[in-house]
Parts: sequence; C-alpha cells; structure tokens
Amino acid sequence: MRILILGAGTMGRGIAEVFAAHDIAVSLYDPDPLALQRIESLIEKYTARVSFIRELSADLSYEIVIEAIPEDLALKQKVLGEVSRRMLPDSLLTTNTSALSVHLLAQAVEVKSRFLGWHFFNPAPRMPLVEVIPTAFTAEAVIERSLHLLRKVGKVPVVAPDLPGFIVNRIARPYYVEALRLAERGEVSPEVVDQLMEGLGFRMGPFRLMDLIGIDVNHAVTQRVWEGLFYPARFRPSWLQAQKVAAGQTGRKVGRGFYEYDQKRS
Amino acid sequence: MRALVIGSQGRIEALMRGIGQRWQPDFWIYPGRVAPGWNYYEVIVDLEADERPSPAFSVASQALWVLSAVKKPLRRLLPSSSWAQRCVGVNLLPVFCERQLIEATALSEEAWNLFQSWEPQTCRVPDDVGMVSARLLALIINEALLLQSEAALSLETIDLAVKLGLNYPRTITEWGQAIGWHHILQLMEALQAEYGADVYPIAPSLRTFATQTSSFSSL
Repeated sequence: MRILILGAGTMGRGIAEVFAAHDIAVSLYDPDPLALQRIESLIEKYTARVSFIRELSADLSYEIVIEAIPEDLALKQKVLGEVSRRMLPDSLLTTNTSALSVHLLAQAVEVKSRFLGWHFFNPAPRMPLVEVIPTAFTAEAVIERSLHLLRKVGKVPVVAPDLPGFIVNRIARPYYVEALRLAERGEVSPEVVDQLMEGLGFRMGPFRLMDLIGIDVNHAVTQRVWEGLFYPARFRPSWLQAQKVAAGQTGRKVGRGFYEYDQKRS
Repeated sequence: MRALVIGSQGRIEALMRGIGQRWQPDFWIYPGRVAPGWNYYEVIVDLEADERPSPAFSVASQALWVLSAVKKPLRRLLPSSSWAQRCVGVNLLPVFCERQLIEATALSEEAWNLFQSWEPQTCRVPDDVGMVSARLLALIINEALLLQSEAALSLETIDLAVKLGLNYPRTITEWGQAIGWHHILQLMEALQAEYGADVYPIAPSLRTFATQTSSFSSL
C-alpha cells in the first residue's frame, strides 16, 4: 500500500509517522522549499518508507491520499479538486481538517463517494483517537475501509458527524470559552483558573493549553464553530482572545500569550 | 481548631476522601436527632448550605461558618450583610472537595483571613454560581450531552472521544457518576436562572440522567 500526504507541517509529519511506523510507504508532498528540512529526521528514521516529493505527477498512483494543508477552505477545495481528478479509480481521499465542514470540502471533489474526513490529533503518533467524518455521499465501504485501516495502524477511530467541531473540538469549546468569559470580567486570573482545573486532574488549565495550541488557532476554531452553529450565545468568541491575536501574543510559539515564556528554553 | 461538619452521609464521605482528612472534624449527619453543642466548635462546615436551609443562621454560635456556595452565591445565602464577617463560601461538591486545593469566596476580608488561618490551601474566586471549576466542568458535560442528542451519538462514543482525543482525566459518564448528575443539572439550572437560557441551555438528557439517579441524590 502507498499513501500520499499533502502538506508536511506538524500534522502531515505526524500522520506520516503513524503509517511509516506500521511498515506502510508514505510520500509527503509540500511545495514549501523549507518543508524537506522539517521532515529530514523522519526520513532518516524511516529511510525506506518515507519519501518527499515537491511536485505532483499527472497520475497519482496511491491507494490513499490524506490532505493536511492549512485550514483555509478555498485552498483546501482547490487542492482537493485537483488531486481528486488525478487519483486511481478506487483510491480513498481524506481531509485532516479540524473544523471546516467536510461537506463544503466535498463540493470540490470529483468522486464524492470516496471522500471523507480523518481527523487526527496532535501529536498524531501518540494520540490514539481519529475522528472519521463521512459526508452524505461517502460510500459505506469507504467508511468501513477507513475504520479497518486506522485500527490496523493502532488508532481508535470513531465515526463523527459533520457538525462544527465534530466531537472533540465541540465538547472542548466551553473549557476555553467559559474560562475566557470569566477572565474577561477581570475577577479571576488565568493562573487561578489553570491552577483549579489542573487540581481536578486536567493536564493543562485552559489558558496554559491555549498558549500551547496557539491562541490564534484556538480563536479560529471557536469562530468557525460559532459561525457553523449559527451564532449561539454560548460560543460567542472572546474579545480578550481577539485582542491577544491582534497584538501578536499568540502563545508559546512567540514567547507570549496569557503567560510569558523564555523562548531560549521553550 | 475544633471543627464540625454538617451534611448527608454521602457528602461527608466525599469530603473525607479529600480535604476532610486535613480538617479532622466531628460529624453531624443531617438531619440528625442529636443537636450538637454549637459553641464548642470554632469552625462549622455545612456541606449543603446551598441546597436546603442551613442551621447556620438559626443557632447562637460565634464560629466561622464554611458554607457550600456553589449552586447559589454566598451573598444569596446570607440573611443579612452582618453575616459576611464570619461566613465563607466553598465548593464542597463531590469530586471538587476531593482535591487538595479549596475553591472559596468571601464577602469580607475578616472572614477570608479567618478561613485562611484555618485552611491555607485556598484559591479565592468570585462569588458566582459554580465558582470556576464546577462551572467549566458542568458546561463541558452539558455540551457533550447536547451534542450526543443533536448527532444521535452514543455516550460510549462521546466518552471515547473525551478520553482519547482530549486526554481529560475522566469521561463524561465517570464525571456524571462521581459528581452526581443531579448536582450538574442543578448547577446548570442555577447558571440558566442567573444568566439566561441562550447562554446556558440545558441538555435534555442531563435532566433524564438526573431523574434516573434522583433516588440516590440524598446520599
């Protein structure tokens, strides 16, 4: 079996490792000139199984293609549309979108019956869950094949509805939105909220976690879920979070979010 | 300090799995036949002050009263502002009282200082329904149940997603059972009454779970 992964970012790299670790040949495609540098260690670790390609051929002879490019609807639709026209007749096309509608993405796909969402979690090699998101057009056999294959590589797939945030990102929303709402009023600090939630066994309080995920990324997911559900008051995005994004204080990656970080150490 | 804890048996047991071990109190199972000697105690903890009338306000005692104030804010529990000097509100629900850190609120510095001198491992939070952690957790559980009915998912699928996709310490079912579905529902009802149903809608299945387990709610 051969798999093509579109996008060699954090998720693309992680997903490639999941399959390579189970003796499945994976090719990573990314037009970014710096992409090869990012996956060098992966290629070294799985020499015979991971390869990098800079250009897509006219005929893509892969059994499975996984799209893991940035969360931009127009960009994803463009890439999925192009790729779907070059694939083998019975191959499977999947998207790793975390919050975009799989149905909207399917609009661009040529053969909709073999397209569905496979939502991996970061870090993909360590997180066992994968949300499998079929559309109304996805063939039953394609869903079954997805579940079988994901189980074969040690994952625990769950079939999720194509609703904003699917299962995991939807259930997690109040953890962030309500914490932000409390902090917006200025009556409780992020440190106190984090301390209390970590005291309950959460690995990270909501503010520390938002800093890790990226405040901009978290804000965008909330925004999409809010819009996708037709603006329910409970998911109203936070002005405090929007301010942080506007100020470029997007979390650990830039050394400052709700907390400050020593970039040399982190 | 000499401490007395008032509460139903189940709530006292939950307390003694956590912070009660530090407090080493005497107990009074509520409602009990034997009235305690109120004046003997310097601290009196009422685990259910926000669920039924507390004896706090009808006895002659100069103790510091530590009242469960998570389903109702402390300010709504006190008959008059003069009580603020010797009452603090604490999240004493099962699960929350089993961690080492206490989530508490006070309406006066005098009461807060007195409480801290007895229990230093505290986090001061606003006097609001659900305080912080019970509020966040109730909303996560409620959202999971809203999605469950919206998408016709099984609770097993939701639990799997929460445990393996979010790495949360417990599943929705485990939290519901450990905290008590009826407590989660009452928290949601209190939030809804305070801030409105548009911000805090309640999942119909939360009501069902709470009703099914209501026969255990006195525990």
